[in-house]
Amino acid sequence: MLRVSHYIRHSETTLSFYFGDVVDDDLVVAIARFSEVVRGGVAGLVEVVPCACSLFVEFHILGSSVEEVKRCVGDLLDGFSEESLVVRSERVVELPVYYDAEVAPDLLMLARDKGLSVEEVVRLHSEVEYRVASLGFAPGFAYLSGLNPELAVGRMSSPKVVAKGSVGIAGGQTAVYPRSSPGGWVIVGNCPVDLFDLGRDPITDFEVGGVVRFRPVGRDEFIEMGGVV
Amino acid sequence: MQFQDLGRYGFMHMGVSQGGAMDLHAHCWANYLLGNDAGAVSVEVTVGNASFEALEDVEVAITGAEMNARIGDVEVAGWGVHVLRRGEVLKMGYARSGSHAYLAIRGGFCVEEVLGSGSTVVRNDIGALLGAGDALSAGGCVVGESIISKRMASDYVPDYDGIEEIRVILREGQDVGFSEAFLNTSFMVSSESDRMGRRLVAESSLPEFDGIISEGVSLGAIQLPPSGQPIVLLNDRQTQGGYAKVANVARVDLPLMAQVSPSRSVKFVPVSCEAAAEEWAEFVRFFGL
Repeated sequence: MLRVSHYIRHSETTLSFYFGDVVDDDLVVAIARFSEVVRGGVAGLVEVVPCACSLFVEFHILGSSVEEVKRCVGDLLDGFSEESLVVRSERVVELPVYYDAEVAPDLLMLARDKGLSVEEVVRLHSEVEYRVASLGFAPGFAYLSGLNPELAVGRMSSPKVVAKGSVGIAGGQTAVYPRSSPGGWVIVGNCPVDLFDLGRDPITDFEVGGVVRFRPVGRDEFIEMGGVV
Repeated sequence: MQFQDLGRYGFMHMGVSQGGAMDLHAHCWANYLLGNDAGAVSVEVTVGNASFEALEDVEVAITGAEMNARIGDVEVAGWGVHVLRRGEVLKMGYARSGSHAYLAIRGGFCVEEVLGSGSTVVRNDIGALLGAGDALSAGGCVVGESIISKRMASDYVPDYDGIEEIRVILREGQDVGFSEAFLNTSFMVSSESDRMGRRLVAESSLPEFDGIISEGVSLGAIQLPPSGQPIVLLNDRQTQGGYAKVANVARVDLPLMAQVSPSRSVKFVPVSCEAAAEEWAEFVRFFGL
C-alpha cells in the first residue's frame, strides 16, 4: 500500500512526496504507476518525476498551489489501489551487449578483483532480469536494479570519459550510457542500440518499473548492429 | 553562445534537463522591448567576445551582462532596442559586469524546436553551441510594437557588480543551528561553474552531510556534497540527485545567482516561501509566462 510519510516543499513551485526510506522494487513500481495517475489527474502541473522513494512535482505558479497539489495528490492516493498496479502489462526491453575488453576497459579488472572469470562476469550480468528504478542523469539513462551482489562494485576513483553504449556497474546498480559522457561507473560491455530519440514519443523505451534484459552478442553481430570497436 | 528560451518542460521524468535562459529576467526584457512574446528564442552570450553581421536591416535588443557592445565604432547601450542596418556588425567584448548577455531579435530567432522548446542543452545532445559563420534568422514571435530607441528605466537595470545578498528558501525542517551557520557564511563563486550549476567555495567550513536517496532536483536547489562546497543547481542540471540540499534560491533571485562574476562573494539571506512565490507570480504575470 502506497502511503505518504511526509512531504517537503523545495521551492515556490516544487515539492516532493515521500513514501518510504528504503529502495525496494515494489515501491519503485508503485510510485511509477502512481506518477502516471498524478500526471493525468492533477491540473496545473508542469513536471511529475517518479524517484526511488519519492515523487517530485512542479506546478505552474498561476495554475495551482502547494495546498491544492497536496489535496489533489492525497485524493488520488486514497483511490489508488493495488489493482491499479496490475492494470498494465510490464514492458520488457532486451538489449544486446558485447562483453569484451576491447569495448569494456574495466571488464578484466572487475573479473580479477572479484576472483571470477570473464565468462562468469558475463553470465552473472546477463542471466538476471533488471528493473528500471529511475530515469535520470541524462535522456535515455535508466538506473537498473537487480544486479547480482557478487558484481557490486564502487565507482571508479575519478570519472573518465566513457563511450556511447557503455554498460556500467556502480554500487548495486547497472546502466547503459546513452551517449559518450564523463562517468565513474565500472564498464563491462557495450550496447550498440540507440537508447533515446528526441523525435519520438516517448523518447525512450525505458519506463520506471519496466523490465530490462541483457543478451550477450559476439563481435560480428555487435558491429552489424552499429557497434564501434 | 547558444539559443535559449523559457526552457523545456514536461520531460524531466525522462531525464531531460529543463534548460532555458540562465537569466530569465534579462531574456524576458530583451523580448519585451522588441514587442516579442517572452518565449521567443534569444542568443545567450556567456563570458563574451561575439560579433554578429546583419544580412538585412533588423531590430535587436541587448540585455544582461555589460559587454561593451558596439555597432561599428558606436557604443550601444544595453537594455534597449537598436536598428542594425544591412552590413553593419554588432560586436560584444568580454563581460565587464555579469556573466551572460542576451541578444534578441524582433520576431525571435528561428530554431527547430525539440520537445517543444528551442533551448540548447549540450549535455542532452539538444542543439549545439553557435560558432563563427553560423547563419541566424528571425521568426514570427511578435505580439506588439517594439520600443525603438527607448531604454529600460535605469532603476530597473540590475547592477550585477553590486550583488552581495541572494535570497533563499531554507530547507523545511532543517536544523536551526545549521541554517544559521549556512547564513553566516560567505561564499565565493568558483570559476568552475557552468549551465548545470554554480559551484561555491564556503569561506568558513560547513559540516559534512550524508547523501540522500536520489530525488527530483528543483531549479536553484543548493546541494551540499560531502566536500562541504555547495553547488547551486541551474537550468541544465541533472533531473535527480543524491546530495543533501540545504536551501533553494528564490526564483526571482536566480538571475542574480547566474550573473555574479566568478571570484566574487555572496551571502544568502532567508525569505519565506510565500513571499518568494508572490514575487515570482508577479514576474510570471508581467511577462505572461
